[in-house]
Amino acid sequence: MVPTDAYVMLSMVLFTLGAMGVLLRRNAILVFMSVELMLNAANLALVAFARRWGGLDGHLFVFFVITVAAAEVAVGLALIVAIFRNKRSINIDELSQMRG
Amino acid sequence: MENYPQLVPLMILIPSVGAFVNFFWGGRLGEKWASRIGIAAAALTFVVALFLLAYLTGSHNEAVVINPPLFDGWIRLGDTTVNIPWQMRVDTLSVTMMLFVSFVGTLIHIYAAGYMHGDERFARFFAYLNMFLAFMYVLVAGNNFLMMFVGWEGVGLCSFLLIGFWFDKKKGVGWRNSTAARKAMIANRIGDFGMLMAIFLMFWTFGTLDYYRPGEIANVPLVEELAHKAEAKAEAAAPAASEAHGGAETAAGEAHGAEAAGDHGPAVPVFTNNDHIPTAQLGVFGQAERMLAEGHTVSFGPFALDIQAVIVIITLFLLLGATGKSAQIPLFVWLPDAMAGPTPVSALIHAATMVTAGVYMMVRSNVLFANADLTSFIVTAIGASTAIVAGFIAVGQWDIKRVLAYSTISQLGFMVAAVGVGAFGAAIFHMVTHAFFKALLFLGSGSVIHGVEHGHHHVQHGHGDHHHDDDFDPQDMRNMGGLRRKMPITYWTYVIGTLALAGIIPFAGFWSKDEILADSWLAGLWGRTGLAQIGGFVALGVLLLAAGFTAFYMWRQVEMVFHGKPRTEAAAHASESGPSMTIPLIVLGVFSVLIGFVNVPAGFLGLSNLLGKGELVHFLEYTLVNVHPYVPEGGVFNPLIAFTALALGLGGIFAARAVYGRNRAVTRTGRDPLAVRPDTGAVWELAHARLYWDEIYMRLFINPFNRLADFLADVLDWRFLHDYLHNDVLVRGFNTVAEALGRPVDLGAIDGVVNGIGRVTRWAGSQLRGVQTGYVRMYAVTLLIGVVFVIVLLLLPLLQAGS
Amino acid sequence: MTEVSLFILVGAISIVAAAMMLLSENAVHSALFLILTMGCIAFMFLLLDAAFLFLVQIVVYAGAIMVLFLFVIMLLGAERVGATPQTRFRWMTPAATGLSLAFLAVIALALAQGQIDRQPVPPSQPLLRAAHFAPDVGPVDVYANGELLAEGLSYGSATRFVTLPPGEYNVALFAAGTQDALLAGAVTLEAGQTGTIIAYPDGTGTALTIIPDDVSTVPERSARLLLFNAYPDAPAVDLVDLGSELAAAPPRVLEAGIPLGGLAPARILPENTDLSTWAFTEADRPAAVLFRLNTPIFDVKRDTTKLLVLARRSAEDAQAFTLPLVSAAQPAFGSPVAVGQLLFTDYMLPMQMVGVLLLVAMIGAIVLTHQPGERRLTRQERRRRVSRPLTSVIAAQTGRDVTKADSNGGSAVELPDTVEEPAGR
Repeated sequence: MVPTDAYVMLSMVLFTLGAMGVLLRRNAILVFMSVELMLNAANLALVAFARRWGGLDGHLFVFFVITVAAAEVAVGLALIVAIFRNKRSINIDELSQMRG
Repeated sequence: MENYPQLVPLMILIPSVGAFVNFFWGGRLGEKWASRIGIAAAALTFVVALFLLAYLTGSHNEAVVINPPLFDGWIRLGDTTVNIPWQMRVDTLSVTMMLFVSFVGTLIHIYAAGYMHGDERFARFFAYLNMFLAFMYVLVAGNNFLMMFVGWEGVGLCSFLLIGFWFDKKKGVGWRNSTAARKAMIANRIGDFGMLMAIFLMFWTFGTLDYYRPGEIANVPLVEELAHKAEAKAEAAAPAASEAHGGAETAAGEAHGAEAAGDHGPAVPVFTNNDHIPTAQLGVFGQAERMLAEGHTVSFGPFALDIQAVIVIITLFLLLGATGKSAQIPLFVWLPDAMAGPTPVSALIHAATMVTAGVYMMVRSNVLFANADLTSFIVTAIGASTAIVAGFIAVGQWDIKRVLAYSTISQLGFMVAAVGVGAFGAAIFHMVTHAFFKALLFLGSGSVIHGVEHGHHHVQHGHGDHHHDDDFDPQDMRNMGGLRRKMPITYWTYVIGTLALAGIIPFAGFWSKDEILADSWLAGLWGRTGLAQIGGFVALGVLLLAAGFTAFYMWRQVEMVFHGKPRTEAAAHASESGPSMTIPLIVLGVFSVLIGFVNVPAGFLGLSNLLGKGELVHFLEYTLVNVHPYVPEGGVFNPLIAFTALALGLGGIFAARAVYGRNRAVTRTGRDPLAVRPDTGAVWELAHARLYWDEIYMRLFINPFNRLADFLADVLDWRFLHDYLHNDVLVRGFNTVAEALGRPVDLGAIDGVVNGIGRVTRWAGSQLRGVQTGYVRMYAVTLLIGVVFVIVLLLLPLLQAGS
Repeated sequence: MTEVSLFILVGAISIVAAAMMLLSENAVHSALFLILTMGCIAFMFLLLDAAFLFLVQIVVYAGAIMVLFLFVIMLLGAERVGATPQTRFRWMTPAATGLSLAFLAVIALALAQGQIDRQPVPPSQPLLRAAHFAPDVGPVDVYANGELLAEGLSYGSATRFVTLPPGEYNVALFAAGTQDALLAGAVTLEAGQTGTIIAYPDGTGTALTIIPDDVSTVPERSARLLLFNAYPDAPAVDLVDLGSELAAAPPRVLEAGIPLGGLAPARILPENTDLSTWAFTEADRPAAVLFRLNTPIFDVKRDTTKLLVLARRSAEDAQAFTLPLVSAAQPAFGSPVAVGQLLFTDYMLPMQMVGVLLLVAMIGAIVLTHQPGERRLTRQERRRRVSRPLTSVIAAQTGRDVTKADSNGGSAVELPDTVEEPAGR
């Protein structure tokens, strides 16, 4: 029986990798994919805890996270497409017009 | 006959209507009809006066008090507190006044129709003249002092309007005219103040302003004497006690009001004196006499005065009023300037009528003046001094009308002096005669001026010189001369007037002037107090001198204007005036000769047997208690004085002939012959400068007054009140407070706080804005740091518990 | 392979794949690596008994979302975009690395401290139901600790399972609609316990007993069978398999000697076991058949717990009768059934909301990326183009003559034949 800690640690590692991806990559789509990675890591942790405590609530939460991630990806990619049409570039360092 | 007195309201009504019509529709009526209405109104008043005369000279000699119809009282407060009715008095004095005023007035109206021909405000002129007549009648016919005052003010108003009638003439002449009108008004106002004070005092003292109440006998001694005579005659003739009848027919003093006229019912009691009337129901004069007899104290709140002192004060105030209206020292300065008005105005108002109102007032108040010795002396002094001063100034004047103006002042001085010595009848007599010949002289001067003006125009047009030489003064005697041949009617009537004025027998002035002089002599001899005696002698001496001056300057004028050769082209081409002007002159000339014979003194060469002894004075005696200063000698001819006066008069004429005659009226350099002589030069210059009277007034009164007015207006009102108090203190103070509240408090503090909050917020926002760099990675890093931070915080108890 | 070794292997693969996703320059490679990572995670789900989520992960995440990603990457041509040199945020790499390491350290420390596996599992709440098999008393109301459990419970029926907090309970039976207490008894409920309170006639009257039920997950495709004897006319009963009519085998006793008020232990039966040959008989007398279980309601359905109660048919009828109380056994952990059960009961609202969210996201995506494309000329404009050039129209409207070169020096305005709306409205 794999201890729950191992799953959580694995989840954290993946989460960290995702976070670093968000910070370090300049391609907007790459950033997005890193966000997805973070979500997946969270899902893993959730399922691990669900198994540990015996309740299915964690599974349901993962279900919702997946659904919302799908919605978010749809909208986010639409945004990226729209931005790309305007600026011909998806380098997030160039998208600083929303500065205060 | 009994109803004739009822006509007296018409005397006021008819000229009022004439004035009304001419005022509103005169322009549309045209000259012909406007003048006709005016003349008709004046003539009608003369007719009514004749009726009144007929009534009075019939067997009715008593005064009648008329309440005009529709006039139920005038000023009434409470039943007995204040009751001043609009009542008219028909008695000998008022009828005398009305007679000569209406007669001379009518003649002057006729003259004015010709004189004012072509004037653009012709109808207005006649309206004013009629209005003047109406007010004059109110003054003369009123039964109380307040009505007299109404008339007093009214004639003052008309004088103002008429003096300034040509207020719109160009080149400053209009301004000069209106200034003269204002001067007249202001000088009269000072006198009016005196009148008002006298009226207040009278009301306070006596509770009434009526001369005599209905039923009151004016001249008690005369009535009692007449009653005695009638009694004696009745007793001698028939012992029948026909006292009631006789009393009703001959004795005066019956209380016949207009309501009870012709009522011969039960026997009406006949009174010969006023003893049956309680003091409170007497008029002013009756109360004054009774109070003086019984002794009375008048309380003025904190102090009280004896009735004698009060009467002196009243009469002093009345004197002040008289000096204003009748142009005596010190308020005579308006009369010479009033010559700026048209000549008919000068003739009517400032010679015959208005200026006599003061004398009339004093004569009416003879009871008061006769009992106020101090005042009488002052009156004498003023009158005499005025007479001589005015006569002196008249010698140095060039303007033809100014000479006549000063002459008027001088003659008024005669009348006032007569009042002062107690010769009230003589004063009225001189007033009547003076009215005629002074009006004659003024109208004649008007004719002369007209003639010279025509001559001037003729000369100008004849030479084709179409620009008018407006510097040519047609009134300057230096521009005249030799008009005797050019204007004969004017010349002869003028000479008649001059001789009348100079007091040459048999012209009118001789009789009236002589009356005054004789009465002064009597007063000097028989005056009740020493003061009165001194006054009498002083008056006699000064008036004699003044008479000499009168003759001198009048003949000077005749020489300058009519004799010699014409000194200018205008004079050379002068022409006689039309009949509308010359006919009044002739009529007045006739009267100037004849009018003196209404009052021939007793003992004059038997003339008195023909014409009666002092008929006018006798006529007046029914109204005036004190017609002579000393009765029974009063009214008797005094040959010495008469001869002295005549000599002085003739001497004056010959002296004037000597100086100014034979074409020496004006020197070659255009100066007066007296001016060039070393001994009289300075004196003449002084007379010419009018004794600097106006200048002295200017310096003594006008300038300080103006300075005070300036001070009050400029410093007090404008600079202090307005600039300082209002602007500086109030406005600026308020503004400063408002500023203080506004700028530092409201704008600075409050706005500062509010704006400051906004500014701080904006600054904070702008500072915080820096967080929004726009770079997603920045946001992500921040997020992550926060996440780590929060997780560490949450796990802290766990971490700490374990370790 | 043991679970641990599988876990280590797949875990390593996922970490490597994630790292490669980050480091790869080609965006398509990154996407594919991400798909691999997601697959590993799906395997992890399987290891964690999350069968349903394993499916969902593969289908939705790896199958739909990542495909969408790939679509977009190809659309934008991002695979061709190389890595541009980093001009800004030079400090980001060390910062991110430090931050991540710190984060991991904290988490590791927390895990070490936390001892998740040693923590006690919170027990599940006890379930309770009441069954009424006392023929003489008529309908009853069942109260537990004063609270109404069942109202008007008629003979031969049972309530549903009710979750109650553990503790002592005083169960009382009243005649329906009255306050006449018929029976009362104390019941202790412990955590995780499932019990059925049965009122049965015990010869002298009505007795109340609680029998331990079991609704836990049954093995795959099987059911659980429980037997209870509430037949007062037989002291004990046997469950006997009589065998088929054809085979002359002697009856096989499956369960012997179930006393009155007693419970036979649960037995697991595979699905569709034929129970038609089974019967209740009197104890030790296989010939005295009380009741045969040969009606279809006794068919064994999987994932159920059957409680067979032998009782009299009614108060008057002394014949034996068996009533099955069937309750669904708990589904397997992580199975779609289990997830669905929970989803459609307790999490109904969030599910609907998420559904709406998905709809909105779809519409939003369409709206954001909608380009009207080329607008065909309307008939009017086409006509206008033929009859009157647009230039003259402009000239008429602006007053400026654009048909010839401007005298001011500017050239005439050029207008295309088609009008495009500006992009990115």
